[in-house]
Amino acid sequence: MIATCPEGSLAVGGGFAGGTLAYVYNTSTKLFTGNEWNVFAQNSSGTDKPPNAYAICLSFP
Amino acid sequence: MAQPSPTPVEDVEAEGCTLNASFVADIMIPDDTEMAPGASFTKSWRIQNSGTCDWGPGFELVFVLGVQMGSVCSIPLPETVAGGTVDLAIDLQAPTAYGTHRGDWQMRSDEGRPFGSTFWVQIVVPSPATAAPEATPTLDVPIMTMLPPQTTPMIPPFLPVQVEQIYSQISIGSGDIGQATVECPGSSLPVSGGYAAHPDVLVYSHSQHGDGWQAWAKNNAGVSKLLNVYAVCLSNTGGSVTEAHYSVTVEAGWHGTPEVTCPPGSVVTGGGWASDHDGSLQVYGSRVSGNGWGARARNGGGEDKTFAVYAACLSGTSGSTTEVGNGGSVGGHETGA
Repeated sequence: MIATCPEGSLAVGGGFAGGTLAYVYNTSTKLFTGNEWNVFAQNSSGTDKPPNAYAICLSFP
Repeated sequence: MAQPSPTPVEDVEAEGCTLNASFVADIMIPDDTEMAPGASFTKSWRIQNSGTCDWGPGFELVFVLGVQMGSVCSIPLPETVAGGTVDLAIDLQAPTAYGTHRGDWQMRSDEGRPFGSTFWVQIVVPSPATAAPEATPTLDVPIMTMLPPQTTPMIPPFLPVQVEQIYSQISIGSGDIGQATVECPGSSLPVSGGYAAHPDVLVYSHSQHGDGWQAWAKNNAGVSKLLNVYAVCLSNTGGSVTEAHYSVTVEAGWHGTPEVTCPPGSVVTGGGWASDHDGSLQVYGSRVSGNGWGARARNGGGEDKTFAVYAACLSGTSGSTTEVGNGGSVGGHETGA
């Protein structure tokens, strides 16, 4: 899953939630042009919903 | 000339095959090629698919470390069969600052797994004393380097706010526990971090550590595996980052949901958690909670376990943060009491 920051802000962090049976093996950012937070998970059950990704977007006045 | 990374490189297991990539040759822009400040150029390598998996849609070459040199952070890989070679080219731009500049790039699978050697581009922007006449600095050279030393007062040049993700990589033997740490360079601030590993590697802790980020993991695979830890480093803002933390005891069969709030006047920029290497705590949430961080885990084991949550809190700047989910914006926080 990918969460993308709006134009004019920078993705400085991020996280995930949901998918109680999924193991998140990658949570990191793809910076610069993407400005995204990526979450990759492996689902142990095959039926569980994958986790949502969240990005923390930093902006200045 | 690009060279393989000195960091350990191994085959990364995928669905019934392995992922790997090996440097074959530079095609354009060998190491230490001199460039005028701000010059556009194209760097290209010849790379071999040295694993047993074919590369297909979703595979990328991504910027991972050093100086990015332009706005491109990734390029898609062409479909390449195992054992085949491919020429990869990236359009880049030389920095305006004098000196030697290097940027490292690495392959990433369609599932986000880094694999293979890192490949780099390294150029030199010569100073006026050594540059050829056509390399005369342009007006966007930092003011400090153009003014004679006796000129006072100096006006610091405006420096744009920058965010850079850097990483460190370790190899963990089968059944072993490993710890990877990476530090933000210079005076940049460790505002966040993350990790990447094979799904059989249990990452059971990641959080701020000094001026960087740290991750702990246990390798449950039958062979050695890699662990990457990432630090997101913020530059040219001033201010500082502090860590707040809180821990709870999670009884067997129950859920633990620790939360911690950043101090007044600071904004949350990242966070992490610490669980147990035995895998009994299954972490299913780690994200912003209020102006802080919250984590969620279920204790599937038979004993009580400690579960801690960490928040990275930025203060001393005018910045504000907003959390955006893959379903849209969900909240924001501003600096101030």
